[in-house]
Amino acid sequence: MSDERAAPVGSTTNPLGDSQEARFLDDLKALDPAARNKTVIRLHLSRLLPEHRDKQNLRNAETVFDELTRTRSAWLYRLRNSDLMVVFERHETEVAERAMLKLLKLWERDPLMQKSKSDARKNRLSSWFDMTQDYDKLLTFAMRQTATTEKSVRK
Amino acid sequence: MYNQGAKGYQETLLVDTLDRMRRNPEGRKVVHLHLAQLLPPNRTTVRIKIVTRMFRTLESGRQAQLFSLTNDDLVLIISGGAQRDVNNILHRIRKLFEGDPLTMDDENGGDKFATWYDLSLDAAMAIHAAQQMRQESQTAPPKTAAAQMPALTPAALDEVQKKIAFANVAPFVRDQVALRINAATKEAAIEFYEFFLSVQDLQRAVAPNLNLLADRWLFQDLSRTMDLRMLETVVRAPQIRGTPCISLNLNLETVLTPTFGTFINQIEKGQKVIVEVTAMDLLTNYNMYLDVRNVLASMGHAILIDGLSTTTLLMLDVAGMKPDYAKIIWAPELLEMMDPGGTRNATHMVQEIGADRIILSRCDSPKALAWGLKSGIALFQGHFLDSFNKARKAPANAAPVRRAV
Repeated sequence: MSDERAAPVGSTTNPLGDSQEARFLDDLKALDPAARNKTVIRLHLSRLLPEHRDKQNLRNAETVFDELTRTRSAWLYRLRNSDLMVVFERHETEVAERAMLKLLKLWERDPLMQKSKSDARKNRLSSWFDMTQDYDKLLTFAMRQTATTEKSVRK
Repeated sequence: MYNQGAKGYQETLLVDTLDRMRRNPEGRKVVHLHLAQLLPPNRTTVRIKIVTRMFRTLESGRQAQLFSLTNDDLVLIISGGAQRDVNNILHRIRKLFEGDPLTMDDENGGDKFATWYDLSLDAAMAIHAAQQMRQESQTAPPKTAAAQMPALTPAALDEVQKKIAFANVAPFVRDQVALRINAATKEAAIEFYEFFLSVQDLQRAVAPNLNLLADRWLFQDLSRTMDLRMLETVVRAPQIRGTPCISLNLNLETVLTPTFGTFINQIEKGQKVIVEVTAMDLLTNYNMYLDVRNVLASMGHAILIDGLSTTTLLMLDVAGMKPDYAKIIWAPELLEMMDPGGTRNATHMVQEIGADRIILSRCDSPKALAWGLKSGIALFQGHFLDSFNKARKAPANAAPVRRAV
């Protein structure tokens, strides 16, 4: 059974490959209201220093969530500016927070981490959303991202 | 209603169940365990049953639905609340098969053992995969146990022999590598390639409804014809070019035929041939064994006694037969034959034959490899090692392959 998906329409590149704004939007729309018991993290990888934003580092940001993505308890979406959206099931919060702490440790020398590097939720590297409460906000964000990407593809 | 005995019944049920659930996924997930890809020694009926039983408690609590597929794979549809329990069970199953390459991550860190689908997002993918499995199960040849097929009879033997004599046997020639592993550096290098005919595949082509192995002596007769066809085929096989040493499974008397002489004349200069004979063949004609051993030695080739089990090791004086090589089949019982001080313990017998002459075959776990290396054995064969040996046909003369241990 393959886990591959077709490349989303209107995608452009992220250093690791196609960016996935359109897929993020599609998945948000496909989610049944009853299945919104999820948390979303936006990892602001674009705010890191360039030397911390190479392919290897970006890949590390994805790998820390392996424990969750393997069992489809989390889904990752790469954005065009290298940011990463992580959607995970609420009951896996502990695992997600552990993964987040690993990333804070990994980039502890980056100025972004200077003020807070020990709180998984309160730091400048990530923004956390509750899918039930923030669904509309996330949907608007995904639509805006997709539209910007499509515009840049047309150019 | 479905016919439970029908081909692909479980697969059809799976497709229909998934199709029904896609409208109302309710946080359900699907996990597909690729048990069919386990190594043959791990894919036994007993082990598959053990794995299946581990999920039964979840099934009885209606937290999971289990589908046992035709090819031994398992598919589970689980409710959101059962995720943790399933993870724990999967962890135990991985432990059960921890020596199997399937439970090790692939080069990209991917999981080859289990594939997960979230029905709220991946329903289409899961259904597509299930449909493919259904199609495969319906087109797969029926799994008829060889024991249930009628046995080869003297009357049918002649017919089968004729078919083999005229068939193109090239597609049925298989090769398996024997590796020399350095216990100190853990480096593995190719020692030789063993060539043999796949009886199972040949049977499917020439006698799909007969069990060729049912009568040992009739098969022995058939195998003489197979030997001659293999010699004619292997000499032209591209795999033997540039290989310093090859081994062939043959009957003793085949070595004394003109076909073998022709084969020796046609191989590359300096190429060494190891003839693998079974202990049974050797015992039924010991004088011929001595003749064959001398003939091969005079030409610079070698003889190997194949298929030594813990029982034959105890019964035969293999050291006294002075073969160039002896092939011991790995069995966990070898670990128990370590009675220190006794003359019939495995280590003593290995030393008596000469550890450098021994090949440990069907080496299918790190435990087998560790036992071999501890006993001073350096030559190994087995699917476990084949799975590491991706660098096929590395340059000759014991070029390092990769770290195998």
